Amino acid sequence: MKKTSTPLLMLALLLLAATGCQPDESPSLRLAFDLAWDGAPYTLGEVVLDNQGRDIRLDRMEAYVSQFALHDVDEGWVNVDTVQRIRFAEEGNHVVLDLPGCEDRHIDGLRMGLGVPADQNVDVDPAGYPADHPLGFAGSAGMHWGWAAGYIFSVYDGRLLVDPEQPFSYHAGDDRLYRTVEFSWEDAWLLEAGEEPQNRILTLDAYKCLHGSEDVIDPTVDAQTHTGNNLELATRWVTLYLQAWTLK
Amino acid sequence: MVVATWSLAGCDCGPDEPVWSPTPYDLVIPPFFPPMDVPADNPLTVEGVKLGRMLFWETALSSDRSMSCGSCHLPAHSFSDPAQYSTGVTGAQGTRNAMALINLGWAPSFLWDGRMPTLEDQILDPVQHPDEMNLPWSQAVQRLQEDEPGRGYAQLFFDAFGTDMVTPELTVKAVAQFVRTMVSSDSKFDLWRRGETELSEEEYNGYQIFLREGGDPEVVPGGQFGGDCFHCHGEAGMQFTDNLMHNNGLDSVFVADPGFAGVTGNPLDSGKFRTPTLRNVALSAPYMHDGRFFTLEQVIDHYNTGGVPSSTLDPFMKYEAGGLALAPIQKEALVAFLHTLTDTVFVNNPKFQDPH
Repeated sequence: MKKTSTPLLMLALLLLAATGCQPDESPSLRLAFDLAWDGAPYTLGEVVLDNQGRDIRLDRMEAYVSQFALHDVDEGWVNVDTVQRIRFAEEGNHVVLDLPGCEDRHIDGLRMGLGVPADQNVDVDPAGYPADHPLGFAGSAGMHWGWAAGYIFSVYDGRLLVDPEQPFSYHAGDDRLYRTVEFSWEDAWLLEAGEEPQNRILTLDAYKCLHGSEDVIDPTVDAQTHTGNNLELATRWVTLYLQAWTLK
Repeated sequence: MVVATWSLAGCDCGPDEPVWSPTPYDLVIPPFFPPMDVPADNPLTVEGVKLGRMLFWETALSSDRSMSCGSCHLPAHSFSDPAQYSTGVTGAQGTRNAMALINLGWAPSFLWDGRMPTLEDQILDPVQHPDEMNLPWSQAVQRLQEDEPGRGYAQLFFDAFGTDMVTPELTVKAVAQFVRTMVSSDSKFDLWRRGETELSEEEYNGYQIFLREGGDPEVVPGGQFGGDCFHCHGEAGMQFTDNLMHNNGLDSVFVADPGFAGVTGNPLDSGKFRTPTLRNVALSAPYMHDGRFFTLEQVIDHYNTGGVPSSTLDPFMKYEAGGLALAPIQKEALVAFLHTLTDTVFVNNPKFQDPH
């Protein structure tokens, strides 16, 4: 085997040090997205009960999440800019957040945008993105209202199985309905550089999207919003949606 | 016998070795269109597109040599079939209307129920389907290999793929290349979007109805007396389809045709079918997966009533609220707008016509 001379090895190490660490050496966090109904795991299409004991079924739940940030105990908030489309009909929804640098980090907070940031929303054409980008034409199929109205931040469709059945559809979009959910915890997580990402789970409790401590949306009374046609209901729904996320 | 393309210089492969040098096809992506996701194993080449066009119109690919792909995908009808159901070589009829072939390079799945994930997969089926061209692929390949039609196919396959060995896979790849070049971007709406023409007042009003929420605000909170069309036929990428599966309230039961549920096995997908593009919709009657409507007016009337209820009826449908409540003048405006999506440059493009 040919030996590499010591000066060359030193030079290579120096170059590596000067240019930073490899991406897989960065500390990272893997966030999976789960769906629940009143605290129990939920699969779209399952029939469950609402707060009045009525059968209810959720057929579609999708959302854009974006503008993640992790709170480093020493540095404060570190932005990890990414946009992800969560399709709860599919398995394995997740996002991997790679933090800059190749040092271990102690993390005690997480921030996540619910929706698409304003500068990427209205007057942005999905055609301008690569085909497979979450905001691109194919990636945003069914989640885009058009150039003027932007992306649909969250979709919550289903039916109340009363007689007659009552379909409901809550579609929130519009920059005014962009929200940020924030979590913090006392015992900081150690994200080690060069190690596999730590796994955590973000759960959306779909029950809480209708039933909150200060507001309840009854589909027999308020069945539909596409935001532009019913901003008041969309705002109420987004407030409940914001409170329906938990981090494990 | 392949007529070889000779390399004249700089080659040590000998004078008998044909050199394969396909020419990349320069597909121009129109303004406001998304990038096209062409499969890495089937890049567009001038030679592949040429071969694909010949095969698309090749009647030797049907058992009695009477039908080609173009027999059911007629240019004047935006490469769809004006008959409700297409009739195959045996006289048998299908159960769904032949979809228009238009901008399929941007489609994520194919056929009314989306069961074919790629264009190449989709093209495999009609040749051998007993109700369509009814020719086993083994015989189709043999006919092309022996060049029964006398078109010089061995050379054309070599030019396109570097081999004169005809296979079903290469045949469908060539046709898929051709179909990906069938891009429509010269309708009046395209020209308006590009600032090259004006819409009439009625057309513009129709466009606004297209974009507005449906329903009488007295009945549907936030209703805007619109057509509610944009939810499924959105303008994103200028495609006028979300390419998703919806139940638009045609039936209450789905025994005859379960739609997407026949693919997924999920009852929640019953009665759902792929949203077709509205491009050239005025040319591609009849409408719906089973071609039950023959005019745009009938289609609009269907949505205006809200459709019929079922357990998978799309929430965009206004069945519970009594439909869209469009007035006659609004329906006329909507039809006028839909006509602005007609692209006669596309359907008359000589590059897409029968070369034989």
